[in-house]
Amino acid sequence: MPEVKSQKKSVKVLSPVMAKNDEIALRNRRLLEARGVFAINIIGSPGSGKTTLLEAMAKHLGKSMVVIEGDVQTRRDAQRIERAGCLAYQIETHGACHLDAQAVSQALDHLDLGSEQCRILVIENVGNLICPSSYDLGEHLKVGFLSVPEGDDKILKYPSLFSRISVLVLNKIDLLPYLPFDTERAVLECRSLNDRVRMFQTSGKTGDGVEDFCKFLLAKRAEVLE
Amino acid sequence: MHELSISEDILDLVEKAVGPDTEVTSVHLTLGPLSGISADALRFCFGEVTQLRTLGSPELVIDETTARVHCCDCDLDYESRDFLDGCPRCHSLNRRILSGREFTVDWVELSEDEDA
Repeated sequence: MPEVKSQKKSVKVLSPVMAKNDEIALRNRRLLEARGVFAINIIGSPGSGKTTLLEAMAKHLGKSMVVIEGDVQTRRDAQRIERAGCLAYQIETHGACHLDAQAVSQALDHLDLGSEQCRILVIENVGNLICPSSYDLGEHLKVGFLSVPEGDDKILKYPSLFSRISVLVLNKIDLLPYLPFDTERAVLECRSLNDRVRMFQTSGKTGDGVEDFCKFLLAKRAEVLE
Repeated sequence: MHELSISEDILDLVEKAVGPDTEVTSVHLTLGPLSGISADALRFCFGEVTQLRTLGSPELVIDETTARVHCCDCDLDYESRDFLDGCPRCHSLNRRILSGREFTVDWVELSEDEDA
């Protein structure tokens, strides 16, 4: 008896997996632009100095800056930003290793986006160099954050992030005299993943480089929104 | 693991394409090396998540692609998966990455009992 071959049916889907997130991200971006808000998404390891840098940035941008803090839990970072004189909204993910566009969309509902205070929105992502890279939040600028003690060999270990950023912030430069961090190597490797990346060297502790970075953000805001 | 919520998103896309309560035998993805997603973690999570849906027990078939890279020093186009080594010809890291972020659900295969 001849064998009957089963006919399997194929259905094309042809969709990016991140389509749902990206749709919400696009809505976030349009809303922010309509309200005159320039948003940046800062992605870096836990302990790289992101929150400390924001505290230093508050001295320059305090009256125009609002922060969305992303952490697995606690309001610690939002409280630090508030003490530095900026408005902050804390997202506690309770397990998720990254922020996504939906979480940011919900946070935006709690901010007075049209206000004078809200010219620059800084989203400090959950401390993690891997998972946040896949999620567009609706930002205008994705910032990769690396600190000197982490080592100059980290960039090629995390190509998904460092190939997507527009700006690399190298933080804790006050420690350069004490650690074998080859800045040229880090820049070369970052440019090898992303030839348009712009780098800033900062110290959240001493304030070095912070004003330049803030001026850059204000200029970028003018370029994107006006 | 965010591969868990991503597995949900994949099944949402499949369900949108074929309808609920459809017996799906395989789901075919393309995954590039710059997607930021672990194929192994995704397979594991996908297997767990399908048990909570009504789309059968489809196999996740992942085409893990390489990235296309252009060497800006010697003009060679080459493929890379990990970006650690420079150009295979001149060893330069002065390069432009042309592709590698792909992460798509391409097609699904249904059981022969289903109407497409």
